[in-house]
Amino acid sequence: MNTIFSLGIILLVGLFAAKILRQIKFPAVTTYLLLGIIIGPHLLNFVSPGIINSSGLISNIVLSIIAFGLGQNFSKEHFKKIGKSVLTISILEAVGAWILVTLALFFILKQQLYLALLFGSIGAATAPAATVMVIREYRARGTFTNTLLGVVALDDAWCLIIFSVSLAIARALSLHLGANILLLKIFLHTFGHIIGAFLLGGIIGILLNWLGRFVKTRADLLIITLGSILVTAGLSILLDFSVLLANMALGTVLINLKKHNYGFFEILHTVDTPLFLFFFVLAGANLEIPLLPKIGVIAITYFVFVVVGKIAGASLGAHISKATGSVRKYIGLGLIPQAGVALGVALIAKASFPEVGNFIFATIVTATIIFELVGPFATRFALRKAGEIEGT
Amino acid sequence: MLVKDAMRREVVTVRRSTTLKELIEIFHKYTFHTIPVVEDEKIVGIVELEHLLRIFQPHPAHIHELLKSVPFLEEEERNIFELEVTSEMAMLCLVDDIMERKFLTIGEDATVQEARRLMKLHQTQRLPVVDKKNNLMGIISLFDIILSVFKEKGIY
Repeated sequence: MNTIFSLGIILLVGLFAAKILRQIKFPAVTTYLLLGIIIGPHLLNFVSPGIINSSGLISNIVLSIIAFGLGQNFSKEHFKKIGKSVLTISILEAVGAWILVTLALFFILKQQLYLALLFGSIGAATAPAATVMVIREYRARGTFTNTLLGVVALDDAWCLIIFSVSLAIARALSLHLGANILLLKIFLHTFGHIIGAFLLGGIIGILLNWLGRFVKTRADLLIITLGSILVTAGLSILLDFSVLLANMALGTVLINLKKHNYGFFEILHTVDTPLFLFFFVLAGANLEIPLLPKIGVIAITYFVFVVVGKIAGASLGAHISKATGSVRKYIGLGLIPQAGVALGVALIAKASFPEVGNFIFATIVTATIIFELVGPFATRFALRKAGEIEGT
Repeated sequence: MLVKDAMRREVVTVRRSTTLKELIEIFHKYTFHTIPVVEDEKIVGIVELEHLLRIFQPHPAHIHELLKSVPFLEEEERNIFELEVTSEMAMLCLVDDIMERKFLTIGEDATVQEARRLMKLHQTQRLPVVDKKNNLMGIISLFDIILSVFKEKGIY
């Protein structure tokens, strides 16, 4: 099958499948993922090898766009509005899952530290889309719902930061495996990777802010925004900086330099939907089905400790920030769904560590499907217990 | 030509506490549909026709702003003809609940060319005009810009 035909089919079938499965409350992300698995090389083999081979490229572009968009969350105005509870809970639930999954894989399953760190950092992700879907479906409203929405909206940004730091440490660790691990070397490697990304994103952000005054049409705005994101990503790869952090810094610098710069973010919505569709179908098509029988124990451990980490971290955050009783008790349960960003960073991990990449990815895809099935029930349970679903 | 030479100084404004009922009356009365929300002479938001639909949103505006940056969020398919709302909403719903907090303004000393550029870029036809302290000074519309060009060319 030729590549162009394959691309067209993916778009059309993806759209119709999502519309149909939407009727039975299936999130579009899961539909695209399952579609990718079905039409992937191990089942129908309907995706051209050219497309499969370009997965790394597409995931880097899509994640760069997502990181750029999430960067706008770190504006002075947002921080003033979201409040201490949302901020504390979102940080601690993400860090809780990161630490617990890492420790569990390292100490219980005796995995190598860099692998445990990568899994831990992916565990920090949540799926805001799935949570919002449950909230909309049950028309939940109230303090608990608002806190939950604030936390899931911020979580992906923390996840990208945690993943980027973990990826840098993991790469430094894997480079020095076999030799004496020099902590200073690992620290310097990680530090350079991150600070370089912030500087690069910051500089391009200042340039883009300045260039913005010469933009006359929406087409130009789209081109200049996409161009800047790709240049940031490309330079990051070239200079061995974190692609995600550089683009996040680009978004953060832009929104803080000028309030009117929100136009740079809004214009991307005109192109991101088909890109996201491709991204998830390709994620599904990348699944190495023969690996599935081997991932059982890791997938279960990952799932359990993500849940425990999120619940424990979120409750701790709620206690520290003196949130209401229902938020303290149930907020963690509302954060179980995990999908888009987890898959995206898993694809990056796959590309960065080819020797274990397929294994990491297969585990995360499996866990994602479980999370997407179980997560919405947990969210609904939390909302009901908090008394914010009508008629309860 | 500068914005302050082409803008209108009489501006219909609302406050955060303006009720939905009062807002609908204003929309009824005037043909333009971008209204600045003002507090202590400073502009804090704008309301447009489409923002009226936000009365159906159950969550505070800042949460909705936060959700705009969330990736993969599916657009809510709402049938506005089947929504359950009660008549009390007319008095209970305030401008503060539905106004847009991310909005464009233009300085009074900017050129009309810059105003036109911003209108094209952000697909709007009316821009609130502010001074250096963000006080609302007037409003400039596409019509005001066209009028200024026509005046220069002697058409009007």
